[in-house]
Amino acid sequence: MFAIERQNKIKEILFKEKRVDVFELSQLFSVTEVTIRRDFDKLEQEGFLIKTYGGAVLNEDLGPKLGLVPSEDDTLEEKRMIGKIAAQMIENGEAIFLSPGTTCLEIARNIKDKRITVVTNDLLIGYELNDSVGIKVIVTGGDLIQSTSTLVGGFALQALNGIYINKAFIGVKGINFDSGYTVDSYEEVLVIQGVKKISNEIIAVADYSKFKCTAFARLGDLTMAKKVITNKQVPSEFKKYFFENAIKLYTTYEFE
Amino acid sequence: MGSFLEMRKITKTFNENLVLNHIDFCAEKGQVHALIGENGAGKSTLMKILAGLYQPDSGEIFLDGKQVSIQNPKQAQELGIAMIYQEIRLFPDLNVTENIFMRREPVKNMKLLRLIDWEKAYAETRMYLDKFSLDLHPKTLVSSLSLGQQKFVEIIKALSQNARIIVMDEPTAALTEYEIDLLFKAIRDIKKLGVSIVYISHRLEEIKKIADWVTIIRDGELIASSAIDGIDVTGIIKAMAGKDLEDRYPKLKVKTGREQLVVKNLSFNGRIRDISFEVKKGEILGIIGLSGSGRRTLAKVLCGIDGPYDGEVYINGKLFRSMTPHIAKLNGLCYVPGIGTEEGLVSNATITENITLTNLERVSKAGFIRNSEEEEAVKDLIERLEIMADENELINNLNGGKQKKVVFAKWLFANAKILILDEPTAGIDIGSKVDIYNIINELALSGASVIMISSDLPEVIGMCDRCIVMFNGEIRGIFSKEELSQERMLYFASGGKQLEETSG
Repeated sequence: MFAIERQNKIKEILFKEKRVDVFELSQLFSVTEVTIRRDFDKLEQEGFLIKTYGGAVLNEDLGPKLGLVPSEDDTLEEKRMIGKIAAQMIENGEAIFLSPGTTCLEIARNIKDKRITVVTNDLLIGYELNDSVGIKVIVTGGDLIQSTSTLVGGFALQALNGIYINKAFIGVKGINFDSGYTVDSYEEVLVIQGVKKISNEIIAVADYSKFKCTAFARLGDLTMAKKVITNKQVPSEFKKYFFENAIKLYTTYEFE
Repeated sequence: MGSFLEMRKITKTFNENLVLNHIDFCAEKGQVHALIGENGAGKSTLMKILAGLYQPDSGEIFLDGKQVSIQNPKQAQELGIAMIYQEIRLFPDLNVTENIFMRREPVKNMKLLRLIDWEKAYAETRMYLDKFSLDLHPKTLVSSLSLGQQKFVEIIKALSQNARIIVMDEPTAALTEYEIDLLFKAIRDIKKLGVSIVYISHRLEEIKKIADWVTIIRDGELIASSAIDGIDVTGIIKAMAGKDLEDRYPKLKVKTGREQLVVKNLSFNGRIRDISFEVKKGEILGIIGLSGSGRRTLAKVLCGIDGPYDGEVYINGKLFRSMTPHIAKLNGLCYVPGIGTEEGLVSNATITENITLTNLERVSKAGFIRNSEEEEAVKDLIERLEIMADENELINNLNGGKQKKVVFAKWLFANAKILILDEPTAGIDIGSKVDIYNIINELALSGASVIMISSDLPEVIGMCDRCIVMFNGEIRGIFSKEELSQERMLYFASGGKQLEETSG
């Protein structure tokens, strides 16, 4: 079993039992206790659990700060790594845009010590940065898409008037050869098109599960972004395509 | 009627990569045939097959109507095929004539004594030098010539061997404008002798000026072959050149830390001399140089494979006056050799065995190998590097890209902190290439120092923070990312000197 699979299983058990035991888990997965403790470290960083003597308990503060519980996410670990790579690209003094979604939320979690301006149309991302002193946060305003934290519509577009962005990180839902980049709704496309006009650089972010998938609304060709951040599991034909089209493909490995 | 040279349906694969797919290539007497394609399109592989350096998997070669089999470079030479590579391949300490007649000096006609007829050799050299309007003496040392003049010596060498086909790979790369004019004049003269010239270049202006025929290959496939005026060369080359210049390498800027490796006045056996440089934590340092420049020797000396050396090597501030592979490894310094199995891996052993071989201490206790520890650590690495193979798979059964990743896994397992990578992406598929670049990023991010030796210039320019250019065992320059360009690096790597104007 891969580390990520094991960590996801630990999360499941945590949600159910509220507490876990190092010894039991090491028996269950037939790995050493050291490995389990390493998993705990990672899950603690993500805010999932709090380590205790010989085990860990579920972090009850998790998620529902805004009454929005993050949905089951099989690729949280991958998104976390994408967030880390993206953060490396952002330099102090820059203005960045973060599009709605959990991947860009992970970027937000990794830039808290920077001195930058963040523009976003995602309420959760704005809120995530509310205690970062070095960051000026601008939430666009606009119409809230039901049961999400995404803002769209005329008011969102108005907020983009007269500002300029160094790097726009765009989370996409589908990446495919024929359909290009796609997202969930046409309203989101309109906002991103507005962002494209005021941005110096477009960087597409998506975990590997988005490849070979097509969502509802088309955002643009695969050549739309000159940089793509994703995971190592991406199918090889995409790696080849991006390389040949001079698009920088960043994938995540973790050596600690 | 067939062509003078016909290469028919040439196919070549490396590992599992199809590099040439049923390529047809013909050349006529007295013709300049431009061969164009992006880096990695298969141009040089095709020409290396012609030169007897590689054997095709399938396909036939006809010369003057007769089928030939070119098993080695010597045979190619005997058939009248001469290669003029991008880099100069002359002996700098010998004079012009000695270089031209190397190993086939004219012999005086005496029965028992084999005496070299130097008079004849010098006279013949003089004749060629005059023919190409080169203001040189046949006895001038090659080391005192400009790069352009050296190029001419190579061409004369080819002609004096009765070459019928001369392949020139980017011949103008390190030449001044005046020298380029001279070269073109020479090419036109050579044409008149009925010699067939294959001209590999990226430069549109040159191709328009000099070529009669153009063949374009892309990804190992023949795209077009036509007379120069029957094809939109401009459009094609512009698209290609633009693509080549574009930066496609996923370089991640990493904040560098303290110096992890400092080398001061390092010399070894005359093969490297007075080498000084340093590498910081998180830094990627490139080393380029042509074969014989000492770049590989430098790597091997640092890792204790070659030695003893003169000079000082500091690893994390600690001075080492001598090195062994064991000490290097203990201090986190490792050498990741070039192509797959040649030096890095045991091909008939499993992935696990290969990965743990470098560091059995880590998985053993009181002399016994703890199997579960080993297994777990290896599984973890196989997953992290996305090797996508079972840990008990034999190295033999993996493709080049996966083998390469196993080599990385092996050194990660040994906790290497300073990695010297020798041709890290040579001969592997593009997908694996992109993986390797990202693994290098991640190594830098995790605080390792990476030294990358590569002959793929765009790759070095794309990935490195700084780059050392070596020539003839010495450092010719250390350049920051902003200062790097292919032309510049090639110039210094071919022996060009800083701020020295070449004379015509």
